[in-house]
Amino acid sequence: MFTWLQEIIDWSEVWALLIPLALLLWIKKIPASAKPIAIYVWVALVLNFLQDYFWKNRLLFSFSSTPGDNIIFYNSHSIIRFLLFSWFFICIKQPFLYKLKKILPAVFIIATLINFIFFERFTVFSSRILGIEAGGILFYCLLYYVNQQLQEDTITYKRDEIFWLVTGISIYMVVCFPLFLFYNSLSVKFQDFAIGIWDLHNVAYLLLCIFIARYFYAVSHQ
Amino acid sequence: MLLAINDIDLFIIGSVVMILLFGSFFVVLILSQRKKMRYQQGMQQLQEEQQNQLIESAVRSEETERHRIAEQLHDEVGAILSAAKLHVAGINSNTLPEKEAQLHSKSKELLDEAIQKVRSISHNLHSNILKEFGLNEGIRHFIKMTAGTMIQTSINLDDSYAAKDTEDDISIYRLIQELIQNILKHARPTTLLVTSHVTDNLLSIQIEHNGEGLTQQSFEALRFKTDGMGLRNIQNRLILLKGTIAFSKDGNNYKVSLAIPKK
Repeated sequence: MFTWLQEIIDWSEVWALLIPLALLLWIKKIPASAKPIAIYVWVALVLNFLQDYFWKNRLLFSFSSTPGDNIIFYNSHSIIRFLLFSWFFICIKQPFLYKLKKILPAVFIIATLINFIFFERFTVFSSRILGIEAGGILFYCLLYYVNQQLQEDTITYKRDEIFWLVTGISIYMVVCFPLFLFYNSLSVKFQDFAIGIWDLHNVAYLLLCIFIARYFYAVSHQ
Repeated sequence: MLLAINDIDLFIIGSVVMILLFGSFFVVLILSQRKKMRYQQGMQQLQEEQQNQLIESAVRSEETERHRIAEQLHDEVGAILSAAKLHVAGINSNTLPEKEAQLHSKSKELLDEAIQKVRSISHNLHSNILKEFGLNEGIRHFIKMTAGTMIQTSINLDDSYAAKDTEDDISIYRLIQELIQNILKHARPTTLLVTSHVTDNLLSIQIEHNGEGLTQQSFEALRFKTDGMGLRNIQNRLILLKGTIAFSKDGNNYKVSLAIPKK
């Protein structure tokens, strides 16, 4: 009965990105701090489309023997997302623990390489890497809030577009951190539950896209 | 099976804990930001009050000084000049030779002019008419004295105006005095129209002229560029009165509109 609704939710990782993308096209000159997010939206659109297309059409990926296997896109998406969001948090130049923020992407790359060379295959959903990614980005968000707290100026909620973007990222990561962390074991032992719970991820992703769109809207009006 | 159920439980507990932790953190952040904002608003208000107090004391002391100088000019210099005039008038010019008679006549003329100037300066510094008959009469008298003979003037003031605080009237009077003096000096108009309108909580005054006046844009530019005392005085008095000033151009005429809330 609700197959059409399920279909919409399944594809939400693709169409949700069209909301910020539409606003991104209105920006005449993208400021330095918005570039990582702008690149993320384009890259995520391509990766999300491929992952949903492969899954929905039960296509066989060259690395995989299972039709509909799209895990490689999830792992790639996670790595790219961490690197681009780190770039964004470095670009906003908050002085609090600035050096640590610059070191974190390098640490993440080393951890990813070690994980995929020695412990996991790239074609397997890596709860470890996605968990580290979510935890790392949440750490960046926390640093942002702590820095705001240490500043003399108060947050002007209506005008502070970065605050809302960071809040959007935080909400997404808070919802997804336990999901990423437990997804491997849940998908093995409780596959239906794991597939069902992914809808939660999609709703959180839609929220993230709305917050990114709000950010682009504010940037386009500057 | 027990392990699988534990995994789901762990996932749910983990999710709830994460959401609660983030939610609490966010609420604390918002509350502390609001507290910071209230503190900053309080500080800003305090600064504004302090600034207003400074302006008020500067304006009041300027007014006291004006009063003192006006009194000294009128009572001391004016008295000496009047005595000198009496003495000069006591000389019988008929008995003087022609040359000395001419000098005597010129001296009387100059003394009259000096007495007139002292009176005028004294009045400019401190208007007794303003004090005794109120703002409207003060404005009428000032315009008559300064512009009345030079250009065509028209005054249409709302007589329902009654001030509660005469100190405010002095500030309004000084504002108008400064503005009209500036108009006469810089805009060189041939006609001047001053009107006022009173509502329950606002006194509106318009000064309209056909000279080379200011627009809002040129006023804003001058406000930050010039070191002149006139504009600073206007601004200080407006801050004190919590009023606003607007400059506009209507056809060939320039208009200065003052809006002053009644206390």
